[in-house]
Amino acid sequence: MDNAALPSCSHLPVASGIGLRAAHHEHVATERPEIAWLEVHTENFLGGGAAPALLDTVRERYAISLHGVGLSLGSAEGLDENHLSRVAALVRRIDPAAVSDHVSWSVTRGVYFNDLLPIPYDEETLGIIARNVMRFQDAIGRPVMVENPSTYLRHAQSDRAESQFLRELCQRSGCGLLLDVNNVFVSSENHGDDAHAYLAAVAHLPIGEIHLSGHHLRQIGNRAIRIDDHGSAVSDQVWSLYEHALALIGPRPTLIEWDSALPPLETLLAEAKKAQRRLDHAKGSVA
Amino acid sequence: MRLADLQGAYRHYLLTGDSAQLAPAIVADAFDGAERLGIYRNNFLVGLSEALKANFPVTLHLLGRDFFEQAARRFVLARPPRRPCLFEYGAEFPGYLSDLPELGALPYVSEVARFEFARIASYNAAVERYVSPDTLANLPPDQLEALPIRRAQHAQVVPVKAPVAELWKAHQVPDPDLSVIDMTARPQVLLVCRPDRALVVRELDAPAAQFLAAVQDETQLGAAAAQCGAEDDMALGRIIALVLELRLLVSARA
Repeated sequence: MDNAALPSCSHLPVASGIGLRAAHHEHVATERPEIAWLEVHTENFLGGGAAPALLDTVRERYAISLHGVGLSLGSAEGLDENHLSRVAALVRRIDPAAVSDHVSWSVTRGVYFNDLLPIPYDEETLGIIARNVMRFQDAIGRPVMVENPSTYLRHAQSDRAESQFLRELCQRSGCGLLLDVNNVFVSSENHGDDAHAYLAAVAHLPIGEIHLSGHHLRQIGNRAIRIDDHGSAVSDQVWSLYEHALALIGPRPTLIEWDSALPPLETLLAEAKKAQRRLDHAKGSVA
Repeated sequence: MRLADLQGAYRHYLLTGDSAQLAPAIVADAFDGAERLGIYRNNFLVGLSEALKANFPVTLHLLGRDFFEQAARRFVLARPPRRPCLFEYGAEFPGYLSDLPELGALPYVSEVARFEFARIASYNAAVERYVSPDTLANLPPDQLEALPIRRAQHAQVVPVKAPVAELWKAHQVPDPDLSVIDMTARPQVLLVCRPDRALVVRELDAPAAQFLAAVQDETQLGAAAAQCGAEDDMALGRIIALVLELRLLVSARA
């Protein structure tokens, strides 16, 4: 579980973890299954009631990653300070091993769209999201990670590749990258890009965590597009891309994410074991 | 396009489905801009409809999947979330349902929805410093009367006409048998609260309901006691015992 090689944005054990969802709260709190770490969606624990009390309990046994879905780092209007202060209070309370959110936006003029909406990759947007990430880091007093998105479209005004945008964002704001390998695969397939080239372009960034999840293929007429729905097992192609990523960047804390059509906890733990075998292999190669 | 303008165009598109302004900003290839945007709009509508299903599972069962999804999508477009915490989303959904003409003959559905949201609100309410038996025991009578109090945030009061608690309870097993529930209207006031980790539901008698209505906003203990209409000291004593047991009061004293 040595994590000495990780960037300062992550204190997670270099092992596999699972996303903890409401249906499994009681099971995990009482049965304490064998797993190195858990990730939760920050926004589900901001109420101050029974939910964060549960997190107080599970953090005694597991390293915790707080993964945000609602800060809307890509919003032109800046961050919602009220929401940010609630996030900062939870970070103080839980003292998680990692804090992250997404390279996307979901809030504008008082409406929250509950989706990771895409941003154009250009200079103005880079300035805005870098400023928002720095505000986030100031508010919680530590570096964060930002996750590469699954995208289904490209903006005509984008003037650089996503991988270059992420590199500039990390450099400007001092944040790390949460590398979602499934998202790399989904976006590359959807836009006819080369996933291996993408990984090569981000491999030297401060990557503190990897995400793995399932996606599905949706038919639109006689064409198909890959949709990132976190609703199934990791595909063979994504496992293969994950192995390639580990060979490029070395072992990293790796999460099995599953949100829709949530299976029994045992299924998640079995997926995490598959990731752990590949991590063990990568550690062996490094040593 | 400036990012603020682009996001304004997304807002218009997501809430109306009109992509005329936004589609030209999207690269067209095997799919045109409107098709690619449609994936995001679908995610937005399905994601929030699923959030409502998660917050209102018994209402979903009562309405059936198709009707619930249609109503949820219309609600999402009419009242999209204002905040990024989805456990807070849907406070207006019961009222929205009660205004639907199609549900005019089924008034209990929106009451069940109101009860479900009260459960969520209680579960997520912040822990506060509750008035304890010791607090009251240690105060001289004049200070007791003047004690500034208000209702704790976890204490949710739900007036209903239908047997809502019974309907909810029946749905805690698969394939509930609703034929055993007497649907005769009988006005009652339900209390949903979370004195510790678990939710508790009680039916309130009239004086207790009036006492909890009196302390919804800050007041004095003596004033609330006078307003509740308890017949004698014993009835008042039962109310005080209830609010202490379930930690329903917060001292409003700074």
